Amino acid sequence: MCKRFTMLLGTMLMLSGCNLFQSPLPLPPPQTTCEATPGATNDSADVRLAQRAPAYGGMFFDFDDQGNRILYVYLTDLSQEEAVKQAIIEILGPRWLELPMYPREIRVLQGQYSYLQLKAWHDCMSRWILAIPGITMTDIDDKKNRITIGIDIGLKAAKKRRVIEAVETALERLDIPQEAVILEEMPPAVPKRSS
Amino acid sequence: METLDDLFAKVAQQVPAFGGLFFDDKDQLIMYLVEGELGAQAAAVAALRMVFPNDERLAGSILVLPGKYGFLQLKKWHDSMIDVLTIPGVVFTDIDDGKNQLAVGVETMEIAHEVERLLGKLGVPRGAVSIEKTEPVEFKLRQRRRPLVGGLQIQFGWPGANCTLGFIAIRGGVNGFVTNSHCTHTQGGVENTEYHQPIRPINPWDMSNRVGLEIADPTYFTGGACPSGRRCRYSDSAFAQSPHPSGPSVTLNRGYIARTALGSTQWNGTDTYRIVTESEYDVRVGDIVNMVGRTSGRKEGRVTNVCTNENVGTNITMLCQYRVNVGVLGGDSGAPVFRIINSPAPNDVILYGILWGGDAAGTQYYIFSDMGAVQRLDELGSLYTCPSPFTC
Repeated sequence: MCKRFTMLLGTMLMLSGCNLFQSPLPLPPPQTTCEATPGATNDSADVRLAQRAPAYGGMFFDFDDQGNRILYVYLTDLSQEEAVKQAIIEILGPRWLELPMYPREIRVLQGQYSYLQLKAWHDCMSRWILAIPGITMTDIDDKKNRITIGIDIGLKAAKKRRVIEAVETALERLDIPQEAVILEEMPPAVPKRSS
Repeated sequence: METLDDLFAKVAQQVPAFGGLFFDDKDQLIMYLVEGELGAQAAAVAALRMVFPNDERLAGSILVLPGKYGFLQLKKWHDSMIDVLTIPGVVFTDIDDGKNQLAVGVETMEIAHEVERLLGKLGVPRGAVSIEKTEPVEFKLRQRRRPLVGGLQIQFGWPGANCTLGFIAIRGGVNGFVTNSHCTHTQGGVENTEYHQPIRPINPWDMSNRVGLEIADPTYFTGGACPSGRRCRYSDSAFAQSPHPSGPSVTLNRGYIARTALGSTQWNGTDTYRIVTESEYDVRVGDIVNMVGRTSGRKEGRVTNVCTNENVGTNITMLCQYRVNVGVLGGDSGAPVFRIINSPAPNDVILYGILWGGDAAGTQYYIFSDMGAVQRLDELGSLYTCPSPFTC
């Protein structure tokens, strides 16, 4: 049986299936365990929130149908709504509530993964995934409650297939569920100085 | 204060055959000597060394081109044609060191005959003057501005590469400004990059635009959180001391960013944003932020990703960066990224970070390093970026 990515929403790809690909690319050895990588990321406010309310799964700003600015918060357990709201106000409130443009309203969304879980996976996989040529970025996607991996949109089909297979293999060896990961085609970042 | 033209005139007083000096696009120093007097090369170099003592650039090879005019003659004509600037549509007059002749810039060639008539009256031979169509002077981020503020064009290297001055800051008691690590001669490590605003003049001895000297640009690390085979940092930032220790004097307006209209590089020189606080890992998906860059002017967009790890080129990875859903162009590197809060006063902002990259086409996104990352102990460390009485 083969693992493969299926195309969703035009340029977005999601993981599904399994992989038999044996890649020469730099990949984690089999049975690699994820260990905390100190200093890998700096989402300190998110970590503090998650430690206070383990169901916390990330947050983002958006507008509702009436044009009101809303703070949306993912929770894996909606019964923790009040605890998360209280933690947000206590941890982020002193600055946020002083400024008139920040939203007063917080709405919760059902999430599948906690922030701490996503962060653990992201910290673990990042150093392996980013070593694969053709990968442009990795991110905890606060708007989708998933991890995003960027793949260079300019790759030819054969190379792209190899990169995808390498990602699948790495995730499998790191024991990260493919359903938690979105693979998205995007142009790589370039520095913006000019001659 | 003596101008560069005055200094070149001193050389020409000693060696009348001297006709000017410039760097070509391969960084080769080239000197004009009046045709038939090329034997004066050694004397001219000696005179240059006397007028510009201790200048290491004179130690290298100097190519000689035959010129038509001595510098003293060109300067005499140039000084006499000051009234050319009174003709409506004339933008500038100049001794063009790269062409051994005079130049007059005009907004439209329709006024060329008027310029020629006046030059004839003044006794300046038409053959010594190039009349060129040029853009009128406008008030832009790409022009000379003092005091320095965030958002202005800066240039380094030769031929000059363009970047944007991010923000004025004090680092370890030293005044200066922050721009990108990739806006130095070598990304990572200090090579004493000199900065000029707005441009490095074509003449290598003209220091009138020199505004800073690179003194901090942490090296990229490997191992730890960094993917194998790659080099990493948490911010694309470097710090330049300003003024340059060897001058000239430069005034800095710490805590202020040039304020332009959306999508515009036009700046009246006085409208500014005031930084009243900094964000440190406080940026959220959906936040609306602005940037001011020398190429794109001011652009507003929404944060789409926070704390992303970004691969750049063949071996650099930038850890924990921030994406915004607006494209930017070459030259915008170093641009300050901020949030307009209009509190406590109109045009007050939170400084979010420094822009460094985006998609190659400049149509989809840009990326910036957050102030928390810029001020990590293993990056630039603590910076003072706000004006009094604010404390950030």
